[in-house]
Formats: sequence, structure tokens, C-alpha cells
Amino acid sequence: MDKNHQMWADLGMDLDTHDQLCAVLPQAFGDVFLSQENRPEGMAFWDMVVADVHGIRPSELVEAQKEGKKVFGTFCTYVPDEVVIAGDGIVTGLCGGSQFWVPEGEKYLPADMCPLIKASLGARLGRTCPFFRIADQIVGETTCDGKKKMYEIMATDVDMYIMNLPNMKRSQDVKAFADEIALFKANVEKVTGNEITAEKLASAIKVINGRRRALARVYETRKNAGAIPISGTDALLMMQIAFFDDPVRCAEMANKLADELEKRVADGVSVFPAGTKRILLTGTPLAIPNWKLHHIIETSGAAIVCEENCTGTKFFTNLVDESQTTLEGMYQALAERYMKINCACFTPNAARIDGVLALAKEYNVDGVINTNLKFCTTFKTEAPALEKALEEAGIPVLDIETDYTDNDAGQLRTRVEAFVEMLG
Amino acid sequence: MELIDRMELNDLIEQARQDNPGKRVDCYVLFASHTDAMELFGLVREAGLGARISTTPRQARSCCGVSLLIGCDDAARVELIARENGVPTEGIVPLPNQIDPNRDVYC
Repeated sequence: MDKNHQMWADLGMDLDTHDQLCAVLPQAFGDVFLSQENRPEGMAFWDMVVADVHGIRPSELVEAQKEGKKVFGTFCTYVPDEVVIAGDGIVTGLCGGSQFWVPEGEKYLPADMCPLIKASLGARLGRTCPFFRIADQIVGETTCDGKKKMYEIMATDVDMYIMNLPNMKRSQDVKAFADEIALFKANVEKVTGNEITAEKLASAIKVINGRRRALARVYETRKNAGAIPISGTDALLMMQIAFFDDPVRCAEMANKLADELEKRVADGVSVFPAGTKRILLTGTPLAIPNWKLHHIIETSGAAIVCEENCTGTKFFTNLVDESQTTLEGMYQALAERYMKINCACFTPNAARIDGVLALAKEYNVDGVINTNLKFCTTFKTEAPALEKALEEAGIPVLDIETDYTDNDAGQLRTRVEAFVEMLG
Repeated sequence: MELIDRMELNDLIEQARQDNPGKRVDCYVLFASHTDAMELFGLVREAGLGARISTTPRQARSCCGVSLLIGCDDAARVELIARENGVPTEGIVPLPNQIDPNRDVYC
């Protein structure tokens, strides 16, 4: 038995079923990533991570646990990584981006629920995701109703902690989330056995801000109106892995990539032919290994230059104020930063529309594609308002609803090609 | 490192080409560890050869892992670079082109 299989067996995984995922990943990875020309050299790091995505990082986490560290699995951009880092814990993303996990999730959840939720539960209960097996605690948050109800089922199988995220953004809601962060801090201290001091939280805030700055540098190069130095598909991969990687290493690698991309911009090196239409993609998150829409768009004559979603700008936009010196001040600073994320679970959520309009301008886009995962009611419901605002601003928009299956790939390709053609 | 018999490698590549007429044949260098893969990737790129970090195709080995995708015309040089620099490999496998961007099969 090789090293990976031994680790997966030790984690209690269903090796035979998991092996089916191992069988399809290489082909999808090759088709989506290795078919691209002139990719940045720096992408080799992320290629390596994804090539052994259930081996390399999981083995690091297992080793850290042997040294007494605790691992917290999270689903969402609203969980403040800073608190876990301050408690000497480790944050990891979880599995939820593949159709592979959906049927197992549908054993417990209604079929008309978003695939991200079904896949997440399927990955845990089916024992086919090492991250779900490794995590000492899974941290959920009250974003959408589907996730909230899914947590109740998942909690029968694993230790879960749920953060109460207010669904409005009034000052009292921000204060309420600051209080919630204080409770989360107490939970992290209990799980890790480590006290979180103001000094440690201040240091963790700097670490996570460093990651945000590095990822933002990569995105900044994509604003260039001429050469596009990196494909959207590659940028998406970097973002997807950011949820799993050590934050300091993530920042280091993203900064190295940004150095290369900035040079590419200066030298006019592009991964797309001149005149390729520039697309901003907005909507629901794209958890790894969900590369379908990016690949279809970027092999249909367009380039994605920005993702306005949780696996895009929402992950790194806005820094946490680093000037606070007390724990209470830091809770408030964290709450203020995290409550600026414009998720469709909030009401009202007009700030998302303003944000998309601003990004469309900043990234010099020719059109916007608004996508939502099937049965994501909140994003679907606010889609008409967003699309109306874009049309009024003279920005062409295409609405796409899809899931993780391959069935609609041909139809999506036809629609995207028609949209790109319409852009002129 | 496990030495790869040069003649055997050339024979394997030639056989793969004969078995797949009209198709490009690529070579995948296999490793026991991702750090070895990254080290050889750096050395090969420094030598001015084309190489890409890849998942290991199922046809090459039946477990997830990192490999190095190279042109088969460079296989002998890559093997030499690995040997000269003490980078352990677990073989070089020639395979007909595995990449199809129009397949629309995801995971």
C-alpha cells in the first residue's frame, strides 16, 4: 500500500469509492489546465498541489496533529481564520465541488438542494474526503437555509460549531457578529487548549491580511486592459487552493506569481490573443474541483478577468484594521471586515450590485456572466435586480444556472459562444 | 535512484508511437514524492526543456500523484538530468496524448 492509501486507510476513508475520484481527476486536470498555452511558470506550485490534492496537504495536517495541533474545517468566507490561527490551530477548506460527492449527499438531503451542500455532506458521510476526516472540528455558519439544515445532519457524525451570522448589515448586526467572534474565540481556546491573547490575535490578523494582499496583487494584474497575464482558470485554481493552504505559504507563492504576472504585463505577455473578450464572472462559489464554467468560457473565445464570488474577490477584498490593541477592538474590526462581504444571504444586498458595477469598470470587462448553482435560491432571486442594473449601465450580461454534472456542457458552450459573439 | 535502461525507454516510446499512429505520444516521469517532482521540474526548465507538472494519468499508475509531463524526444535528456542531480524517479511512461480540451468531462 502506498503512502497516500495508508494515510487514507488510517483516516477511515472508503478507499474503493475514493479511488473512483482518483481515477477521473487526472483526465479533467489535463483537459482543463495542461491544454492551456503559455501559462505562468509559477502555476507549477498549484499544479503540484492539485495533482496530489488529497495527499500532500492532508499529510501535512496529519503530521501537525501528531504535534498536538488542531485542525478546523470551514465551508465559508465568513469564518474568521484569524481566530483559529491565533489559537495555534490550522484552518482547512473542505470538499464540496464535485458531482462525485452529490449522490451520497442526496441519500440524506432533498434532490432540489444546491450541489455544494449535497456534495459537502456526501463527502463527509461517504468518507471520501481526507479533509473532512482530518478536521477535529467543522465550523459552519448561518449563511443559507440549506447549509443550516445540512449541518444538523452532519452534526450527528462529527463535532460541529456553528457561528451565527446575522443576515442584515445594520450597526447592531455588526456588533452581534463581533460578539459571535468572541464566542468563537472561546470555542477555539477550548478545542486547542491554547489561550488567545490580544498579541496573538493581532499577529494572526497580520498573517491573514498578508494573504489578502498577495492574492489581491495577482488580481490587480488582471485589470490590465491589454495583455491578460493569467487565465481565469489558473487564477481560480490559486483561489481554490488558498482555502486549504498554510496562509503564510499561500501569500509567499501568490506574491511570487504576482511578481511574474507584473513582469508579463510590463512585457505585454498575454495568455489570450489580442482582442479576446473580457468577462467578469459573478455569483455562487466555485469549490475545487469545479472548473467547468471557467473552462467552457475560456475555450469559447473569452477570458475571465475577475471572479466576484467567494472563490474570488470576496475572499481577499477589504483588510482587517491592524491598529486595534484589545481583543474587543479586534473582534469589532474583524466583524466590520467580514460583514462587508456581499453574500446573497443578506437582505438587502444592494452593495453586491454596486460592487459588481465597480469591478466591471476596474477590470475593463466587455460583459458579465452571472452564474448560480442550481437551487441556490438566494443568488437566483437577486439575479434579475443585478442584471437590470448591469443592462442599465450598458454592460451585457448572461445568466447561467448550472450544477456539477457534465450534461449541460454542450448547451452552455453554445450559449457562451453566442454571448461572446454578441459582444462584437 | 532506479536507473532506467536507455534502450528500454526508447523501445517503449517507439512502441507507443507504433501503437498510436497519428497521435502525439507524451512522456510522464513518475516519482515517489512531490518534492522530487518539483526539483526535477526546476532542473529541466533551467536546462531549457519544456516540462509541466501534471497529475499522474491512470494509465501510468493507479494512484493519485504528481508527475512531470515532458516531450518524449526529451526523455533521455530528462532522465540524464535526474541521474546527474540525484533526483529519484520511478520510471518514465510514454502515453498517447491524454489531453482533450473539448472533451467536456469534468470531475
